[in-house]
Amino acid sequence: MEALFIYGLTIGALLFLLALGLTLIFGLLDVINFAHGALYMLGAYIGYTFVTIIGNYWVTVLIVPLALAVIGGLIEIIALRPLYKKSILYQLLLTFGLTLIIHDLIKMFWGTNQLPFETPEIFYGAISIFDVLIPNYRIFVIVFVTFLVIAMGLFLQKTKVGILIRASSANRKMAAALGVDVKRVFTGTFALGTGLAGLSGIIAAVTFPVNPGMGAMVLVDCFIVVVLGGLGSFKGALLGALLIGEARAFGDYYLPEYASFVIYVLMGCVLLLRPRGLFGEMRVHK
Amino acid sequence: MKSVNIVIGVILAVLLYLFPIISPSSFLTYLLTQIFIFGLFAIGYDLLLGYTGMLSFGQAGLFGIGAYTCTILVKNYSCSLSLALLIAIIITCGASIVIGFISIQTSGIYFAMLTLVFGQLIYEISLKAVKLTGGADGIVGVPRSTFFFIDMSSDSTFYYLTLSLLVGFFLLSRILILSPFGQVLRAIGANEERTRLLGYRTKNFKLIVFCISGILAGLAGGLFAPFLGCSAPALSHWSISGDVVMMTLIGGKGTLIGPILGSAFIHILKDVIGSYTEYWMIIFGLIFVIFVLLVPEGIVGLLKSIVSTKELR
Repeated sequence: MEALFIYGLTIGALLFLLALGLTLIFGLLDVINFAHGALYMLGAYIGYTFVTIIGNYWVTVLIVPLALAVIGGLIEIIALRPLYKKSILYQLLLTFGLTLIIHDLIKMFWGTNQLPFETPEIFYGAISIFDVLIPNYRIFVIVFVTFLVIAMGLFLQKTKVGILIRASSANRKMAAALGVDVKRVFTGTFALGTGLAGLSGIIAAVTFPVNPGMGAMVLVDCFIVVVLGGLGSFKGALLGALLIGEARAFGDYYLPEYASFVIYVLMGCVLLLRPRGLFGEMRVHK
Repeated sequence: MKSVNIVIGVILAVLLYLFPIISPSSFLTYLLTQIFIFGLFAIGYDLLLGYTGMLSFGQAGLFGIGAYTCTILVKNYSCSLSLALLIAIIITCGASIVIGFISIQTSGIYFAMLTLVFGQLIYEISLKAVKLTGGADGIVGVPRSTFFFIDMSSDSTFYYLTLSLLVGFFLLSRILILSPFGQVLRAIGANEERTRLLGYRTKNFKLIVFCISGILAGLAGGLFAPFLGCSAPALSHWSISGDVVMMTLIGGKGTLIGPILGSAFIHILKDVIGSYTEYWMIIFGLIFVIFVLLVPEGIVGLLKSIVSTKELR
């Protein structure tokens, strides 16, 4: 039981990291990034290559998010920026098109077989907490994500850049009128979001299978998380991620065949009762 | 519709009907049949995205339901293709009502996300319900059976069947769009809030158009499985939704003829590029992105603007 609960927390933490990137981008750009799953997958694959070349997991954890952030920034500047003035439909279509490209690029460079991602030595072994054995890796993920989320919170609340991001999300035109370089804030936020996707990818690669199906799977879970929690709400994303993480962990154990369906039914019910999600607000168009 | 367009359309249809007689190339007949089947699928998608402005990323799920229903009926219960298609349509319609009813509670981004989630749910079912669907291996050896007592096993009869269905449903969709019902759909596409305030129950209209689109997806799936001779989870994979989105947008959304051209464009290109590399999705993705950025009206829009600039001169 306790072990399952911790396992659920691990999945939840990873999902929250992904949902955080999605929510940040949505808060500012009003766009859901359909390529988020593909970028997460790209993070895992690039991470795999780096780990096999350098052999150091920690350096990789540092490099991969940076690489993904650069890719994200380029995507925003080249592809998304020209579309801001058009209907949101085209922005969604664009990120969907990017998914197709990234997906096949990955197949081309790394093939379709599952990659043997070796667990770094530091994560061998387990700790006993209250007589329950918990693998070190799971503890690491939970602690790491907790710190990261606190750091992100402080960054958004206290630093100047964070305040600029929040100001631009609250009112893009007013921020621009007050002299904020909104274009740069957009690029930066998109890069931050994709960087977080890459980070989740490299962390997930340690225990979850690295194959071309991982992106779509995680994207669907991530969508369920934000739809459940309410799009654009950090609190909602956190609650949604924990709920789905636990549902996956317990579902996989007790109802291995139907675990996914439990989640889909849960989402369907919430939506019928509260179409905006648990913490969702009616959004006014900026 | 201008009379010139009608003349061109009729000539094109006649040529296509004569095609298997003029050119007995079995390869081209095969390619064209594929184009027709996905043309049907894309017409339905155009009603949804092009006219009503509903962006769904989960149509492959409905396509897969049609394919599996037809496959199981024809193979395990020796149904005729006509009956199997009818039942496939009914079942897909039922699934569309359930998925549509939940998804339509939301709109825009939420709708796109939910349809993707449901599409993936059907994909998972097709992988996991091994007894029904054969799991990852799928079901092979699907006979083409008979359509109203006509043997469908030869490629040319199947060609005529799909072509006739495509022409029939194209005309029906055309009538639908020009009808008062279609006008409301366009109004929803232009501004849903305003249409609702004019007194139309927009949710009902959206659910109906989602079902029509689902029926066409199911019909296309039901044709595609016997045509290939097999059903596999890949038929409900999200990349099939991607295909239909690309066809509709590259061909020109909101034109009905555009999606058929898009289907032709993608299948022909897939064939050409496919002989060099199996990673054609990268090139398609790039073409798609370029269309989204620079030619959002698609091929038909491009042709229209060329014609109108010529007329101005």
